Amino acid sequence: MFPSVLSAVAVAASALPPLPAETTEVEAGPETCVIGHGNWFITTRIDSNTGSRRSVEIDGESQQRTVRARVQPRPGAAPEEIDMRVHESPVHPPSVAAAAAHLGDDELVLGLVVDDQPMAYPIHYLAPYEVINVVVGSTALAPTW
Amino acid sequence: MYARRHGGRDLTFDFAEGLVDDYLLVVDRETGSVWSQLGGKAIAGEMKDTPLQATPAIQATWGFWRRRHPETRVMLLLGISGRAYWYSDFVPGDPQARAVAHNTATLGLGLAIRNAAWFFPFPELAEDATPLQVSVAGTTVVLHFDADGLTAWAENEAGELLMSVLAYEQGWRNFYPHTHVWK
Repeated sequence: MFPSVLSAVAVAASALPPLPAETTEVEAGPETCVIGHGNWFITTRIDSNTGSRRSVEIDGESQQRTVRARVQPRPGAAPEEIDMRVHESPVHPPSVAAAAAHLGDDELVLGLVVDDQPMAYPIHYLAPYEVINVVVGSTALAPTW
Repeated sequence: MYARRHGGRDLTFDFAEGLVDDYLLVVDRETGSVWSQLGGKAIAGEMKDTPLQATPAIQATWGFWRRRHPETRVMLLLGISGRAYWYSDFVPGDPQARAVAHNTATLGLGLAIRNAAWFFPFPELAEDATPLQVSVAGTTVVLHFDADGLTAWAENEAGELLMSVLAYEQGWRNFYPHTHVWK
């Protein structure tokens, strides 16, 4: 459940919502994909030899937000009092109908039915953010993985 | 999956670079409280010990979910330049990738009802005909399993989805060291 790796496929511009005002443009190479959100971004590098995706890196100004807490700084470590860095998760992301979803049948999703509306949340989206803030109908939910 | 509504307002969660019991933490923007992702309650801050309302959901393959719910909608994220961000060239179904990414040997369904915790390993569920009716803490539970869908879930006798989680056995034991394991 730690950040997994991602790759991007562009879709037709005519079908896209307008550019969010807060999105930051970041130069990306052919083996790098970047998600920008606000003023920070996740970079994933693709190993050209194996095709595997690795090294999700988080960078940007959001790292300056911290919360003081007694927690483990890394898996298996003893708890200690630290200024824990906090990164913004997406809020109210858009959704598309199933036919417009470019997902392979073996991709993993979290699925539930809310107010009679089935919703699927791809785990590859959830993995780097851990939690996303959504609204389905009148219900505010936090898919997490 | 948690409801964000608490005390008359919707909380907004961000993720944090810290762990408790090796599990992930999130922080809400409204109070700055720290919440345990798996524990579903605040562990520090103004809302310490406040529980979140868990909402049952299932984890499955996209193929399994869309066949059961063809009217489903799918969340998408926008990458840079506002373009929809898909990752369709990663295929967990590829035999090699599946062996690495979906090692189901120790994967299973974790279910906790009252003071009883049970873990139902995928290999064991695969050998039983499901739906499978079992008793957990005196409650009749109906277990569903689909190997191709990489999914399992639990319902009560009325067909209502119960809170459960797909987990690796050791991860489940970290939270429930006295868990029963189905055989």
